[in-house]
Amino acid sequence: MTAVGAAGVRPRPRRGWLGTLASTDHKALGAGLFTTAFGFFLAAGVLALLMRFELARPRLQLMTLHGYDELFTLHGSTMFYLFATPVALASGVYLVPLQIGAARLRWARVALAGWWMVIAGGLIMWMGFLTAQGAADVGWYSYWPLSDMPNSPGIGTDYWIVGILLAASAAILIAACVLATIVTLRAPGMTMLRLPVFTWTMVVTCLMVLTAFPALVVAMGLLLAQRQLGGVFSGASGAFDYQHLFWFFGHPVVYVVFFPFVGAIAEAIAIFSGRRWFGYRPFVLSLLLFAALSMSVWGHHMFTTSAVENRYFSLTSTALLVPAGIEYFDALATMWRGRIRFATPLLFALGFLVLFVIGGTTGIFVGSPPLDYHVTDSYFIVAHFHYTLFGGSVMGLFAAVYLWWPKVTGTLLSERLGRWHFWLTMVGMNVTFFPLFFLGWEGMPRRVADYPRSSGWETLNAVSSAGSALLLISLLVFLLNVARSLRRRVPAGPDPWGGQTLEWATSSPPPPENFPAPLPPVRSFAPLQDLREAAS
Amino acid sequence: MRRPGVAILVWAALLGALAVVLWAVFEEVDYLSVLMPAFAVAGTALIALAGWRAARRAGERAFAPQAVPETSWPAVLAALALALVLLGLEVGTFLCLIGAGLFAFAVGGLAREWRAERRTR
Ligand code: HEM
Ligand SMILES: [Cu+2]
Repeated sequence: MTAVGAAGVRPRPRRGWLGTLASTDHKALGAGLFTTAFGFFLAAGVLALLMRFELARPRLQLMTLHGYDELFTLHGSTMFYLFATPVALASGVYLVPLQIGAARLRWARVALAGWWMVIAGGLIMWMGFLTAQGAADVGWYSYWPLSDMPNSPGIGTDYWIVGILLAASAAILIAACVLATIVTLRAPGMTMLRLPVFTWTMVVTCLMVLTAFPALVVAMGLLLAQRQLGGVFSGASGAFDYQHLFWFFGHPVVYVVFFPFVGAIAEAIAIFSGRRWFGYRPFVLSLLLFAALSMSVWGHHMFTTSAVENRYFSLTSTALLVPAGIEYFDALATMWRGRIRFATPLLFALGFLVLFVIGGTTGIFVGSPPLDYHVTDSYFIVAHFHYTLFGGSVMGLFAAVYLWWPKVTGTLLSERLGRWHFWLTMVGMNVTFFPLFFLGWEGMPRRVADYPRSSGWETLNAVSSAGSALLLISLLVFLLNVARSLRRRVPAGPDPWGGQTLEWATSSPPPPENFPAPLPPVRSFAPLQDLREAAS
Repeated sequence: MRRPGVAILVWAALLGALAVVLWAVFEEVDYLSVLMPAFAVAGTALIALAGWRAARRAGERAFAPQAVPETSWPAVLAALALALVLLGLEVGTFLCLIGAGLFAFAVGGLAREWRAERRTR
């Protein structure tokens, strides 16, 4: 065990890379969790490429039908449980203490254990590929009874359940730490209505994790017990119970992996428009409403079962338009008459807004039961949720990465490569996923490795697969940018963009205690903007 | 809104209102559609309460020197031990037992860390 020292007076740690694996410093912890999650993103991306490669032409080229089942299950599960949720929380672990002027994360050891639970859970889930019957093949929501022993006898499915149990519990633990930090460690003057926009999105994210993820832990625990012992679920009511439990988590998770990046793009838009975020208070209220509504729409995943009140869930799903509209309005109003600088973080933020409109409007579409009956379980759904997940989480994530990279590493990324990265991603994303709307409308079902030559679906599938190759290239450009930045180390300085919140008031990267010098006074949600305006 | 509990309570109220609409306006509601939102509302209210109390005490403590060790291997070990226990449910009881042993060891380490902190406070 290492020496115990006091935070405000901690010496600069010399713990080496081994020490960062067990560090209680929220910055090392956040960066570690972030890197882990990004690694899982790359791994799940490889699976996606394999699927798109297989689908580029009719017939089976690369894999068996069962192999394809394993790929989409592990792709979707890795993306949600091991990439998107952890990466969202990791952003909070790193940034929230800095944004609220705290020296540390509350209960850092709990979050540290959470990071390792994500690593262990991911490895266990992927261990399925090494077993005789392969990895889980039940889809990311693994409906019972399709996920029961007789239908999915492989131990890979049990590993998958254990992996999710670990990752979901980890998410709950980490969310508790971030929320507790916000509640108890805010700097003097930092009232709740002066929290930076990103921190506010983390408040609602953590609340959703704390209230929705337990349903997933229960569902997975029961599923494991059912598979090992039996007698937990039975008949149609068992099937509906499972679906209720799963979707009570399964819809909110989409917002958990989305809200933090709404916060990130809001910060990017404000900074690169040179103005503070428009309509702060209504925005906060709309976030709370957004999150509450998204906890009340889970039944829309069960429209076609006739086991839920379709009218209620269709109403709440449509009501999501209101808070979403407020957020779009605020974004546009912030940019209106601003001095806009089209730096890479802003490009990704705008990409996010554009792609999410497509994901959102098609979501309203499937939020209406009659239309949903037509497209359910078709490629229309696959297109829709990739527009929200890729357009939302991944574009927002890159906006966040380009915005805070200088803070985290102390070095600058290349703007030129960043622009290439952005445009390749934007084009690749649309070429990959837009054709899927048409395929779905024409009736191509999801989760098939093969389709008949006579279907006329060949061209659109080939286009989509070509798009995924573009996405691969865009990612390589990003990795090149990262490698270059870390090698050249062009110093970023404490505040390269003209930031508005407290994290830009300390050095880059911040020292262990975060703020060695006294904090600037906090009189609004954008204290550095206050100083700038007072000076001019 | 100085008190963070208020913000969280607002959210609990919104959740509660939406759940009440589901329960009151529509007739056939299955038991999980009652239980799950009820748990979410009650859980949020509890978090708000805890937040309220913690925030009252936090003022003086937030900026007091902290003695959390820089690295905590016991926390890492606890996570890995838990993973072994769960893995043991499929692979075999022996793994559960090894995991449980390691977990106990990790808890011992954490307890030592806590005592050290208490002393320096
Ligand atoms: C990187 C580019 C991506 C590509 C090329 C891609 C491609 C695919 C493909 C081909 C499928 C299988 C469709 C089917 O047969 O039903 C799929 C399913 C899925 N993807 Fe992606 N995807 C990408 C990114 C993402 C991201 C970022 C997420 C989430 C954050 C995600 C979440 C999912 C989910 C949840 C499924 C459904 C799995 C299931 O049916 O159980 N994908 N994706
Ligand atoms: Cu949904």
